Amino acid sequence: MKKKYTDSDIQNMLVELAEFVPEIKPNDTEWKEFLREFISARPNIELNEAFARELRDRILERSQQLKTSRWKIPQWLKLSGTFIAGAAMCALVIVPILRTPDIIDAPNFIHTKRTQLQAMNGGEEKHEVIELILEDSDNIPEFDIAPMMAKEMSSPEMARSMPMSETQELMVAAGTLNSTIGEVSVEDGMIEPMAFDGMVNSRMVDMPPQLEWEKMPSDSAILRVATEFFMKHNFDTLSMSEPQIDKWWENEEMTWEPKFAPDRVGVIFSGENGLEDIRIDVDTRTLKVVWMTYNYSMR
Amino acid sequence: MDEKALISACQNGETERFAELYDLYVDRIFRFIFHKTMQRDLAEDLTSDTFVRALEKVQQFNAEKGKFSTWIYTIARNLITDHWRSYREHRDIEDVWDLASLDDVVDSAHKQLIGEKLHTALRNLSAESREILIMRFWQDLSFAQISELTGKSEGAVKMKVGRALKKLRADAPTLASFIAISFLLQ
Repeated sequence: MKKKYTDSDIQNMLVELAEFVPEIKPNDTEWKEFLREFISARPNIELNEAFARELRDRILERSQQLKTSRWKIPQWLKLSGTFIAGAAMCALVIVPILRTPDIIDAPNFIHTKRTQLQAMNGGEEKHEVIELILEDSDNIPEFDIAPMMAKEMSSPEMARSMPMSETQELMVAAGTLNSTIGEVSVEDGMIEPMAFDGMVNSRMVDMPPQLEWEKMPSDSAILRVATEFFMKHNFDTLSMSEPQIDKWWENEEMTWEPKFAPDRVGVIFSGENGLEDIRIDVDTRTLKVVWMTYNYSMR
Repeated sequence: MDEKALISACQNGETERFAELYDLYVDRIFRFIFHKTMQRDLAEDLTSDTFVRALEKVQQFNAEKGKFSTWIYTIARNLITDHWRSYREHRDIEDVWDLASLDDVVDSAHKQLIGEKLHTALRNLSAESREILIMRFWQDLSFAQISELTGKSEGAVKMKVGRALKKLRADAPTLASFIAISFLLQ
């Protein structure tokens, strides 16, 4: 339904604009007529009632489904005040040990493909490469973490020197726990993979040596890598602020100076109203994306 | 029940109350999407996606971070952007106006001609100016709402709208004539 504007409405609109654009004259008849005509020229599109009804029914149906799926959790929480602590322990300690995807499989979960690599030198050294795959058809596009590691792993040279002995699916049990025993999930749309950070770091293979400060890539190079990754994976940049590099080493409270440049730096994309917040870590030695923290509830 | 109470009810498990939020917003969201796509079928699809997405995410809505209206408009905006991105991967995502069809707007040859002229005049504006101008005068959003949606100050929004209007009026010989015809046809 088109909103009707009186002469006074039109004039008030022009007064508001004239404050910022002096060429607009609120008392000028031609200006008033021009604005009135422009408003009148808008396409008069009406919502199709049948469509609106059908969609409303769909909303109600979906709301019932959601209600049913959310019912079990609060019931269980009432039974034990220690559930959260237990689930947290399960997530951070037991689940990685069990590595039993059949038990903990559920939609919207984050999986990692965990590959154990055993060196050829008598099996004395063991290495693991973790490739993080986010699986969620609705919200989270699939992408790979540490693509350079995956690439190395699949090369013939890598296969000869570090044959895969085992490949398993492993749940990343990080983030907010909100389900019953045997199921561990991250809160919908929220991913906090930092709990795995140390594991990835400690098992990196064939990584370049630490970086001298003078060889630190420029800000623009780091931002370009992160932004290209961001765009490549179809994230929406329109509502994002300009990406910022997290230069933690410039923190005023820091009293020591690290000897080497950081192996990785975070590039932060912040959204409006807390709707999106993404951190992409770029390896400063290889200029590749190695990690991502994702809080993107809107997609 | 007011909007705030409805949201609170939804977040406390009464998800069926979301249908009432739907009633409040469906027309506005549909027209918002339509004015950015100019295609009825597409606008209906994206309207559906917007409300289903909002329902599924309503638990995450935080009133301290912004209004519900801004939140749901942002969902719609992101979905439109995602749609055009998948449609033309290498295109300037903001500048989707070129892709929009007039088929669903006009129902006669005369109106087709008028619509094309209006389409052309608006296309001469930047994507951002065009969007803000349409939000203000065709979708009846307040400057405060536009400010929240775009992340710009109200002053900046008013300045953009004013400049866009001034530019449109600079094309007055064309614009005035087709608007006049449009007026006669209504």
